[in-house]
Amino acid sequence: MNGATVADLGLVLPELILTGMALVLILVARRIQSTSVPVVATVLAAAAAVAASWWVLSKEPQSAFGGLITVDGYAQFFKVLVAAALALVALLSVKGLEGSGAPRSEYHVLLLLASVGMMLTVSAVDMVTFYLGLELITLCSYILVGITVDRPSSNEAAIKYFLLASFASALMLFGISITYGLTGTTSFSGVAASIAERGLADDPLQLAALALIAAGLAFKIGAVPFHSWVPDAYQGASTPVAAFLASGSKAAGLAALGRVVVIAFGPDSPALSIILVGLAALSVAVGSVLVLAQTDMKRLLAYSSIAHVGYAVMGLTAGTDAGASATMTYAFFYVFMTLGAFGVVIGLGARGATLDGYQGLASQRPGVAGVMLLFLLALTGIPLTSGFVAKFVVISSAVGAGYVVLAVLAVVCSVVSAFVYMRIAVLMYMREPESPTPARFPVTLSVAIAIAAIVTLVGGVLPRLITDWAVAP
Amino acid sequence: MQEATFYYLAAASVASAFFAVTRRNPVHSMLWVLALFLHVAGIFLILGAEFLAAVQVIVYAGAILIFYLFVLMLLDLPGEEARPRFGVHWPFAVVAGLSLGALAWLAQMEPLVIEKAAVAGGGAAADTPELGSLENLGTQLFGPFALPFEMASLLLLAAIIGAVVLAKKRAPAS
Repeated sequence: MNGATVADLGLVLPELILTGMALVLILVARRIQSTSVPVVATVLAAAAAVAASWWVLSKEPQSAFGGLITVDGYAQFFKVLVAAALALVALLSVKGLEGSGAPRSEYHVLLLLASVGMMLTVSAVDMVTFYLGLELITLCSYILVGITVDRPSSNEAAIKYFLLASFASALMLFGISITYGLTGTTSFSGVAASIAERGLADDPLQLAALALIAAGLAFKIGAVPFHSWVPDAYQGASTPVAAFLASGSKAAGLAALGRVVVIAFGPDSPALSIILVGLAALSVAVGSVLVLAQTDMKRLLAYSSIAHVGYAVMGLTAGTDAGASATMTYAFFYVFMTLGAFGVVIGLGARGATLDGYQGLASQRPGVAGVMLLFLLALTGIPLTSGFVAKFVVISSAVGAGYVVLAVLAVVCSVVSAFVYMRIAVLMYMREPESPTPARFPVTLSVAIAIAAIVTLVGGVLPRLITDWAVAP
Repeated sequence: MQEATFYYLAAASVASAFFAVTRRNPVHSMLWVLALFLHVAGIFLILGAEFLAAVQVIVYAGAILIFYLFVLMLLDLPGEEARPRFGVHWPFAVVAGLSLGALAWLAQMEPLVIEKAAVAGGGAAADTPELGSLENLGTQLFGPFALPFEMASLLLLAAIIGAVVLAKKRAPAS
C-alpha cells in the first residue's frame, strides 16, 4: 500500500472546504458572534462543498489515501445530501437559536465539523476512517445537544446521550478489533476477501464481532432496540440541532451501514440479514406505535425518525445493489421531509412545540398549514409526495428479497402511524384557533422550508431524478 | 522467565481491577486503578510495544487518573461510602462482564492472523512489520495513516471547542 500523496488532497476537497471554513469561523469567532456571518459562511461552504464533490467525481471513481476512503457515486450522493442538510439546518438555526444564548459561531463550527465527519464516514472503506468519522459526528452532536447550557433539559440530554453513545462506540470498537484480529486487515474489501477465503462466515467470533459492529451502528442511527436516547436527545436539544440529528447524522449512519453491509460483511451472510431484518421490523413497529402517544412535537418527530430509520434499513435487508439504492433514495427524501417539518415547528416558536399549538393554523396561516400538510403526507407515505416513492422502493426491495412478512408489517405500521400525522392535519384544518396568529416566518426559514417542500413534491412526481442517481457502491 | 512475568502481570491486572470495583473508599479504588494501569503497561512492554507502554503510563496513569481524582474531590465522599456499594443493576453488569470474558476466551481459541498480516486484500493496517516501535509508529502515522491522524486532530479540535463552549460563563444579558 502506498502512502498518501498531495494529489489525494484534491479528492477530499469538499471536506477541506468545510474544515477550512470551520477554522476561519473559530479564528474570528469573537467578532462575528452576534452577526449573521456564521450562517452565510456555513451556507456558502455547503454550496461550495456540493460543487466540489461534483468536480471531484467528474473524473473516474477512485480510492484515496492508500485505500482508506473512496470517491465514488455513493459517496458523492451522500456528500451532496449532507451538505444540503447542513445548509438547511444553518438556515433553520437563524430563528431556531433566537434567544437561546448559544454562541453562534461555535455552533456553526460544530455543525461544519460534524458535516466533515459525515462526509468522511460516507466515503470510508476502511474501519479506521469509518470509526473516526462516526466519532467526529457523535462528538460534535453531544456538544450541539448541550450547547444551550442555560436550559437544564439540554444539559441532561447531552449527558445521557454522551454516556450511552460512548458505550455504543466502545462496543463497535470492540467488534472492529475482533474483526481485525480475525482477518488481519481493516479495509472493507480485505475483510470480505478474508472472510470468504478463510471460511469465517459462520465463525462464532466473527458473528460476535458482526453483532457488536451492527449494535454500534444501530445506536448511531437510532434503530430499536438502541433507540432510547433519541427522544430524550431531540427533546433536550434546541430544535435546529434535533433537525440536524434527524437528517444529516441519520443519513451518514445509514450510508456507513450500507457500505459495511454491501462490501465488508457481504450480502451472503445470513446472520447479517437476520440482524438487519430484526432492526428494521422492531424500529418500524416500535416507532410507529410509540409515536401515537406523543404530544410534544420534538418527541413526536423523534419517534417518527425511529420508524423511518426502520424503513430505510429494510432496503439493506435484501443485501443487493437495488436494495442499497432503495435505502439511499429513502435517506435522501427523508432528510428533506423531516427538515421541512422541523422548519415549521421552529417557525411557530413556542406554539409549535406541542400538538395543541396546531389548532386552527389553516385559518390563520394557510400557507404554513399547507406546507406542513405536505410534509405530514410525505411522512405518512401518501402518493404524489416523495414519502410514497421512498416507502415504495424499500418495501418492494424487501418483497424482492423474500421478506414478505416484513413488508406487510411495514405497510400496516405506516397505516398506524398515519393516525398521528393526520391528527395534526385535522387539528390544523378542522379546529378553531385558540392562540393568536403566529408571526410571519423570517426569510431564511421560509427559503429552507420552500427548498424542502420543492424536493418533497418533485421527488413525489418525478422520482427518477433521484432514484437514477442513487447507485449502490 | 517471560512467561512468568506475563502471568504475574496478568494476574495482578485482574486482581487490581477486581479491588478497584469492590473497595468502599473511592480513593482506594483509584489507587487500585493506578496499579491496574501500571501492570497493563508492563504487558505492553512484554509485547514489544514500548511506545504504547509509555503512553499508558503518561496518559492513563498520569493524566487520566489525576482527572478522576479531581472528579472524586467534587463528590461527597462520606456520603458515597455510606451508600450501598452496588446499584440494583449489578446482575446485568455481571452478565456483561461474563459475556466479554467468554468473547476473550473465544478469541484465544481462534487462529488470529495479526502476525501474518499479509492477508488478501491488504488493508491499511496490513503492512506493519514491527508493531509498536516508536519509529515505525511515527512512519505509519504520517505515511499511510495521515488521513486518520488528521481526522483525530479534528476530533480533538471539536472536543476543545466543546469544552470551551460548555464551560464558559455567559454574559447574563445574552
